[in-house]
Amino acid sequence: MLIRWLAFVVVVTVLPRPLWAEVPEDVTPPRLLVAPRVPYPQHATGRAEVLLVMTIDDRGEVVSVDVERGSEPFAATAATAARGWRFVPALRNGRPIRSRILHRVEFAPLGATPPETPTVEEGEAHGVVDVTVEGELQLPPSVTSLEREEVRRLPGAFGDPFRAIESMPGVTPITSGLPFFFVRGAPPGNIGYFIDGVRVPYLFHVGAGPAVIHPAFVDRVALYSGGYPARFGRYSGAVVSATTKNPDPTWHGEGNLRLVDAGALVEGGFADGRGTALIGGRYAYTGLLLSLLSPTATVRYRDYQARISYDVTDRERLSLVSFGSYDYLSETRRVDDATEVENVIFGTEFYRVDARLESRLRGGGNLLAAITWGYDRSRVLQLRNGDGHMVSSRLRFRRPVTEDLSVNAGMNLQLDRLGVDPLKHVDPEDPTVITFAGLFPPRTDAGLGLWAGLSWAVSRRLEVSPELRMDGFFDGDARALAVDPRLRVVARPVEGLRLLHAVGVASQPPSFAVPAPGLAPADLEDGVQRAVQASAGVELSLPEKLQVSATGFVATQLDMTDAIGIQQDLDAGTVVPRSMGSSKGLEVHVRRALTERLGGFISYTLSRTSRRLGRRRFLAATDRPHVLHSALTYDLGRWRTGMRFTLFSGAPNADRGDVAPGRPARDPAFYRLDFRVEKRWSLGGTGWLSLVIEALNATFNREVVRGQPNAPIAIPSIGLEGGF
Amino acid sequence: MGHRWINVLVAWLVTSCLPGDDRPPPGRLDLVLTSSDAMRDGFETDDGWTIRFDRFVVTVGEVVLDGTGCVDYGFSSYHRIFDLTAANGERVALVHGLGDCMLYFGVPFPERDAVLTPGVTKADQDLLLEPAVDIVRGDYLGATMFIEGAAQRDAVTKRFAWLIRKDFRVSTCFAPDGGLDANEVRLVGDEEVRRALEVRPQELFRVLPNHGERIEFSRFAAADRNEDGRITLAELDEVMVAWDAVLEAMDAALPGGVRSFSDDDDPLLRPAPRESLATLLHAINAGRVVVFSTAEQCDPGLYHDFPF
Repeated sequence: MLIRWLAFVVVVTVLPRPLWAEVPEDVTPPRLLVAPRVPYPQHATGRAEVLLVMTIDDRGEVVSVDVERGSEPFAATAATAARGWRFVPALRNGRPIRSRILHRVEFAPLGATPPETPTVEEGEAHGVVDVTVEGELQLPPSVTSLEREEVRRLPGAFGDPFRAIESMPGVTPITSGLPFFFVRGAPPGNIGYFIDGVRVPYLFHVGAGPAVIHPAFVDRVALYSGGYPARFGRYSGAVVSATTKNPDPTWHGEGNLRLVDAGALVEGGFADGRGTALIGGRYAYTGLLLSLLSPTATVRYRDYQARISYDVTDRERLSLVSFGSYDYLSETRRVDDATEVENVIFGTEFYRVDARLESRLRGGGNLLAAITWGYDRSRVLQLRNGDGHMVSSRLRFRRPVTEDLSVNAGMNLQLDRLGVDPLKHVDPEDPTVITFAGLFPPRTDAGLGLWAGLSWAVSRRLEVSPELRMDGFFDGDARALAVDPRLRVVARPVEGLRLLHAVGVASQPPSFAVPAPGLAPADLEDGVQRAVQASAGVELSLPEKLQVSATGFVATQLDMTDAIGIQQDLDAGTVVPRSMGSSKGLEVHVRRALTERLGGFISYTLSRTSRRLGRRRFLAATDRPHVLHSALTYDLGRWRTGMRFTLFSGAPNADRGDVAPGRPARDPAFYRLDFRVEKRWSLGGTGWLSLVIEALNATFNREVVRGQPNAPIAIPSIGLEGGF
Repeated sequence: MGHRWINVLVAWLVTSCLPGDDRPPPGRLDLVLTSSDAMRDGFETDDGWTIRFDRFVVTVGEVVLDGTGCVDYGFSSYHRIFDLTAANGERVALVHGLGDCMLYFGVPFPERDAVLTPGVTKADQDLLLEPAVDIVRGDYLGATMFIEGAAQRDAVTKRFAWLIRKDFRVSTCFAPDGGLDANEVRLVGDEEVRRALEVRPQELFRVLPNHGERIEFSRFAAADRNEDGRITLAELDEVMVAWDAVLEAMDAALPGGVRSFSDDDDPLLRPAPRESLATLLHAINAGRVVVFSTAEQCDPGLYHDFPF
């Protein structure tokens, strides 16, 4: 789904003169400050036109938006987007005045030729602006995405778009509440996380903490479960991709205050709206709470986001984006009255600076050129520090060739200089220490990826997207080449019904069990991990805005470094034997957007995941045949309520060794209930304030892992959110 | 005003990075294992049997420093496999810490990357790694010990070759004066101390698990029902022992009348084990062979529950 969000192109034409006779000669119509970006709506296809009647006040802010003409979901999408636009107000004799204008927003499939001349509309509005939205032809298969506005209402997600991932089809939790999961049998180390195409090592703060990016910075999050677009490489399991909100010159902000942390984000424009500046972040003050609960423990986390963008021309935007995250967990122990020692249990940090130039090409299509610097660092237990400096560049190009065919291509180059602190206070004969030194030597890794593909509308009812990606991996003297073909097919035999197929090969260098900044095993001489992923699904639009989809999938993974699935010791100094993996299943998703007054979803996954080590074949340690998520939300106006129910099978209890694929002994099934209640007040024209009471695992259920009941992982939260 | 903001910015940047290892220098503890004359040359039991060992392969590792006034600078979780008939002061682990610490070690199932000490072969390691459904009625991850030897009295010779399929954690040890500080150690920064583990093979044949009890082989010999001269674990499992007496003997060894097995969670009580000589050897006596040299007696704890 996200591909169409990443790919849309907006063409804005501001008419040079008033169009209606009613406009007095001494009045200058309002003018848009920046080129607005309107997303192509989910689950929509084809062309559409929406006419909006907008009232602009004398400060250039949009006071009201009414749909004059247009069908759903285009009308709602256009109206929602238009409410965030900012104008130079209409002028009468040089003085700003309130005005009404007519906007036309045209949605067109990718490749369609934008209208050269806007159509003149008769009416009582005092001006017209045309907006053309160019979207992809098809909704890519094996993609599930959620907008931030939906996530905000999802119980137990705490407003974090990333937290909603666990509710998506195909996602199997390792343990309830912890933000690490398997996707269609692929372990956490094989799942790539991207923010605006920039790779990040992880998405959540320490433990069950919030996301490392302020929610207000994120527009939507998509999960690519398999056969994903070729622009995503170097991950053989799945891809989680977040898209940040478009720059908005209107001054706005959002903040939240909770018992354990506070966050805020502010953005505004400069240079008459051509430029924008954004800054945000989150800071945890867990010390206040922890000092009561566990005085010897220290938990710190914080993150920041900053962005400056400038529209160099009407078609080119230059942006500098930076974000980073820091996590620290330690325990202080007293040796005697004079000596205290703080032992680090877990510490990570990463920082990114991304400079990018986005260009909308004449005649359609776009070009992105970016360069990224990054720094990662991990501290695992008391004694190991690994760090990495990363420099990467990426180039993306997309161009419609005809109305039915577009070509996309790109490359990315990445250099990682990885280092580790010398190990102190260790036994030099410890094989774990020796292995660690061999597995994580100081080195420079390099990767070059090239990809190209087509989006071809074979007919009105059939769209095909063949792609090819090639990656070269370099790790010291070891080298590996990967050639990954991918194909996505979307058919619409009848209106409202879509058949979605995806098949692809994905490759990845050896990976650590869970993503750890600056820690990447040097094991390339044994080859890359590969996966062959295939899925076939059907999607149906039903009345009452219901969407139903069912997808069958098969994935085969080769040469995996999956320590979790084979129950290998998770110690960083352990060599993980290469295993084969197999996963197959069925995903069913029934949803009604949570932004509707009554919204909800049912997400069910039936699957089986196994591993093979040599000749031994057994169920993966995290195989859960049944995973069910369901949620129901209701908007009462000032009150919003919701509840989410989660149920999943127990994992095989493999403490006695391998588990035969037949009828293994399993831990008991687990279920939990999350809830959310929000009371919302409007402040002034655009301000709002909410009191949010929310809980994940409100019933404090305990999950049984390997026969032992865990302490209940429950996250209660009470806080204030507000914005303007 | 400008300086203040610069100071704030610098402070933020400094605290933004993960700290390095700025802990005070720790003390080092070198834990070694020494064999014994009884292991190398054999010994005579109280009932007149002479026991000799051909092989006594055991995994030792997972050395931990613990205690409220103790800081462990990095636990040593690795394993070494020893042949106790050949061991001669080899290192078990080098650990680092500060303060007054209790020292624990384990007799675990070996990892594949276990260090093999002199006299131990890869075949020995493979033997210990082999999972099995064994005499004590359960699936086992492997074995922690392989004991092979013979007992002789007059003209009678009985041979035995046993794989011990229980893993132990040795943490409760009594000093000769009855104190529970036989495995206590003080670690001071930049100083090195040395502690030794000792091998006491006689403990395998102690009638009841109490240091004051006799060491006898006769009932082991009597277990050889088919009189083929080989005593198997299956045969030992047919010889019942009075389990209440076993528990009482263990409690009697404790100072101050403390009951060691009063906890319902103790695997020896939950569920009740098969009350046989095989269980006594397997679950209790074998865990008392490798102990701290400073200890009168150690009560090993079981890592894993009985599977039956």
